[in-house]
Amino acid sequence: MSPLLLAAVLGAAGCALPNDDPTSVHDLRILAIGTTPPELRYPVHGNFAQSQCAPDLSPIYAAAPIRIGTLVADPDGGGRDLPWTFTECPQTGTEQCPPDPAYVIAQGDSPASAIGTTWDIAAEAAAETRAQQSCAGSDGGCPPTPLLTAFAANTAGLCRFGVWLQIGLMIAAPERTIYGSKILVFTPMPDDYPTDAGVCPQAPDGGMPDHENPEYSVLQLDGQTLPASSVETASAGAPHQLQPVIPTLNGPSDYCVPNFEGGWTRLHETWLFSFMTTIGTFSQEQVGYGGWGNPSGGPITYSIDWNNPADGGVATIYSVLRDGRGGTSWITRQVDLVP
Amino acid sequence: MRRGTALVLVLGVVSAARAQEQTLQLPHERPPEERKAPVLTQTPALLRFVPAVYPPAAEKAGLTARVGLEIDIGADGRVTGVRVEKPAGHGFDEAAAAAARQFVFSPAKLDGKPAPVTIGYVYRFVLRRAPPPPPPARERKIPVEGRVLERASKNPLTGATIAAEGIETTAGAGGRFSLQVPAGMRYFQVFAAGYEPLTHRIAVEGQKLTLTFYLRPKIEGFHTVVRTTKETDVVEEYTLEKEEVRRAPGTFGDPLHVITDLPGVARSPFDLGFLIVRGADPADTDFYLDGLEVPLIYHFGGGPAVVNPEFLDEIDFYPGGQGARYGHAIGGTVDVTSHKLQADRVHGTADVNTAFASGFLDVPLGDDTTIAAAGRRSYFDLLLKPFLGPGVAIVPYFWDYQFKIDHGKPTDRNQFNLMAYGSNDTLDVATGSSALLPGGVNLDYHALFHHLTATWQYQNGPFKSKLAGMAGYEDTNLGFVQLQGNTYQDVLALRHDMSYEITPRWRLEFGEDVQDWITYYALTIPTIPDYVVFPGSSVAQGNQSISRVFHLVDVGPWVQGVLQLGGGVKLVPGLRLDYYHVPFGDREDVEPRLELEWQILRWLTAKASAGLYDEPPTVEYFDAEFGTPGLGLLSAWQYSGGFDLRILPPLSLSLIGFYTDRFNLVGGFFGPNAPGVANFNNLAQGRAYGLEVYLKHDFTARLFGWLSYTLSRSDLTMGPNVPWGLSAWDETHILTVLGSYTIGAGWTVGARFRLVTGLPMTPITNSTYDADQDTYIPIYGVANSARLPLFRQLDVRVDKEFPFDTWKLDVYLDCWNVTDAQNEEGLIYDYRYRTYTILPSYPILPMFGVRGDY
Repeated sequence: MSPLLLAAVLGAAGCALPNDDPTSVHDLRILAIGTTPPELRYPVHGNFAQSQCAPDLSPIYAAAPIRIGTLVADPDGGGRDLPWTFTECPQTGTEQCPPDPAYVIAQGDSPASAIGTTWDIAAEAAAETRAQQSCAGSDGGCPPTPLLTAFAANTAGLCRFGVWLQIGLMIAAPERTIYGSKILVFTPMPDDYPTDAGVCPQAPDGGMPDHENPEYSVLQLDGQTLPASSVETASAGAPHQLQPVIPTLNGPSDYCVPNFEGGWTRLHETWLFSFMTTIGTFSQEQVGYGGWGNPSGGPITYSIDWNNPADGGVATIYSVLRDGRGGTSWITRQVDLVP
Repeated sequence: MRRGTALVLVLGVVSAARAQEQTLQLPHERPPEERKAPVLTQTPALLRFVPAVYPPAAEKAGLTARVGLEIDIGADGRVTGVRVEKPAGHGFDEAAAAAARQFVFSPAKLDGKPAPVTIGYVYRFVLRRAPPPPPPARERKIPVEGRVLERASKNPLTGATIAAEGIETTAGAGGRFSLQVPAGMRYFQVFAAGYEPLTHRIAVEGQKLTLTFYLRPKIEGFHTVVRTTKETDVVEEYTLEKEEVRRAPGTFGDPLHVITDLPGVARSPFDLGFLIVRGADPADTDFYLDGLEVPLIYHFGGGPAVVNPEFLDEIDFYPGGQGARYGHAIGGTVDVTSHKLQADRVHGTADVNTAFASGFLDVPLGDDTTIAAAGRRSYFDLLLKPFLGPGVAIVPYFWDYQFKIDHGKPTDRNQFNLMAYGSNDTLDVATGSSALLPGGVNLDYHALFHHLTATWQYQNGPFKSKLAGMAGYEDTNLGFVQLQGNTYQDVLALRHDMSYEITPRWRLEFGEDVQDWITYYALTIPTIPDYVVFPGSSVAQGNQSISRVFHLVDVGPWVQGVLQLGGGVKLVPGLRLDYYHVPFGDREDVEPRLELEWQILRWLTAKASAGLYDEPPTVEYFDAEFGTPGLGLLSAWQYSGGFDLRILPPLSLSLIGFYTDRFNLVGGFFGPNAPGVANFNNLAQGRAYGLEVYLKHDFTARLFGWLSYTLSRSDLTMGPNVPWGLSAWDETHILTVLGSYTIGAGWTVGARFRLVTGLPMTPITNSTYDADQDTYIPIYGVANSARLPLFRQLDVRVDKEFPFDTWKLDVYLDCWNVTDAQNEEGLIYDYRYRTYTILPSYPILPMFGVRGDY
């Protein structure tokens, strides 16, 4: 190692890094986006390995509307209305849908806490089908059909591995436009899904159990459950510890995914909790199951330290749970930090 | 009795500039062999001195004088011309010139052959009292013999004059002399060109007296260097000599670092030592030691070169347009010539500074065999240790070694050498557990190589041959958290360069260049799931091992003619065939090269070149699982042309324009191959063009330096339908001004100033929150459409040399960025890519050192 590199390393270590802590919420920010349900399924017949695949998208065409919810913080907004837009498109790699009205799901103005929509995906599929049919044979450019294109452009996903639709959120605040994205999963259920519960989990009527958003309702502060509808009190400037409580019955579950060898791989949901607060910071951004941070697969720690200033105030705590396969839940709690 | 006595002082014999001027003033039609003067192997010695007639009037008036002369000496040692440079009048000038015309010298030799030179000479007229009466017949004379050597360096001073009691003699080969001196206390006076005269009062007694005189150079630290054009000039070759650049500021005493200050070379981020030549990727430039490729040129992170400076003799840097002798590189080439060991005496150096310590020892074994060894180790690890917290270990260090045996003199028909060298860089980092990484950070990096080379040089009349072989082992390891990557490489190389002088004006050069690499990869990485992983899923998977063996062979026969066509025109057509045996198939390419040089006027030479170059992709790109087995060779057409002007020696000016068209470049990414989809392709293209200006003041007694300016542009496109954009290595303006001045009394000061356009960067305009992965994805603007700010830096070096009779001590301070300019190397964004802080370049960075030279 040269004197130059050493100086560079020490210099870089000593330089002032950006001090915007991700666990500190101090301006308009998207903290979570979730869909209910997080995953839609459709049957696929035939043998994918022999390139004989017949997907049946009728459940999509008849699906119930999807609720798209968000957790958006606007601590200094004072409840102002924010113009927002939801979009949908095949995955772009840039996490942004093209700026074309055809990709827009819904638009509106509302306070941060109310940003969300209900998307009638069946109506969207039907409309796109009609658009494709009316455009067929014409020389002019056809309007985009993002939902159907997401299926048509991904044969392997359509028949076997699943189709991911990108849901985009744009909030055009006066001071800044911010963006978020979330994947909506469409999972094919092929004929060869194992029927042995020892191999893959089974729904009561056969096939894979439905995928639902994880249950997240209890968050403890120093061992005491924080109430959802009132403000808990705690001493300011003192160290506190937060810990999410994993439900006993509806905790992380098993599920199966098709593998590249033509078989099925059984997996277990990896629940990961994120924490943010309007006062102070947390010792970590996330706790829970982490492959990279916990390579040995050792005991998983869920508790997190909250560092808060001595001058106190009413803090909002945001915590988001992700199940590792598209399911998301979150809770918001308030704590009055008393000096 | 009166007697006119001339006391001779010879000043400034054969300076470097003078010798070079000689070569440049030769008529155009002379073949290049006559123009070259590679080494001044013998200075002219005065064999016959003729006393001048003291002008009677001046003598009567009691006048004395010093007349400065310039004497032209022919190849036979006879005086061919005398000019009065510093007249004294009163008849002294004519008398001195008349006497000097009758002098006879031993011929000066350039590269072992007699050659004409010009020397400066001072003829001193002094009035002396009548000499003492001759000693009585019984006065005993004692034989005195010895040597005259340069102080500190102990270089023999052939031609030095030794005088004692009116008896004079001239030192011969090896600075040896002998004379008979009457017994008793006697004054000895010793004179030599370019050295302070020496006077000693010595008791002459006994049967025989042996003396050694050490003369101090008039300017300490100045070593005569004779420079010349090489046998085969190429358009863009920049040749640097060790003494010329050892004290170059900003190099930490390492001559190889000066390459980064030459035209065509961009500044690498943090000056980490990547050679970015004419906008090409650093991997496109090759490094050779004595014609055999070495895996790296600098220690990790812009450290000193992996070869001790004492082993370096000459550095040839080709930013492009290199001849057919060089292959498998579409960028530039650096060829370092190892030092021909000194067979006359023991020579050693030791250098200790705040970064590392090194030593070198050179010992003759008999008349024509010399053995040398060198070693170096840094000690950052030891210096850093006290400053680290508990549980934290940062262990950075490097070492290198060289061992060489030289057998044979430069004039021998056969010469052999054996050389072993190796290098290691290590960086181990271990931290305790943290919130972010419960297992802590563990980084383990090392890069190690050992090479053994053997060379046989043979010359017989018009035929010359140099056969060199190398066996090597190279090992690179990188471990980070749960990732481990090891690369072992067995390398065999053979290079045979030959030349045959068909006529004095036509020479044929040919040879072959064979390299054989067997590369073993052993990777330990997290198991790649055999299913589609949902973004943000944190699966605690185990590790998997991947091992590969790749065999790559390159056989490169080449031939070129060096044709002196008359009228000052030289043409060097060449052809190279590179045949590559690579995994999953063979590749071959025929590469024509052409160089043209036309000496239009004595001071003006035009040059041009064109050629095709290729190189194989990095071998792991051929991997069947993660790469693309069908990848082709990367190629480039290189064109250049320009002028060399030598209007005011020692100043010279070189202007070169260049255009490089790179094609079949590799684009893509590593990853599991999807059926029917190639991860890599040869669709990327690059182009670079620009102008290089090199204004140089040759190495003279006090001063050397240069101004280097490059105006260039380097573009890249990843495919036929992808818009062209700036290459990541584009730097529009690169200005370097470097100089070193010897003040005297052992003091030398130097400075380097650089002004460089910042590297391109892609702006981040916004970001998208990825709700599945709980992270932010940057939204980029147009690729490479922004730049880091202008880089400017001033470096200073000060040397103070303390010469002693048999060794010298050099105390130096090499200080980077003396003005503490706040340069930027990059931006560090916050987690949302909204705000950023500057990643600063180096602050003021001094390095102190002490160097002893025996």
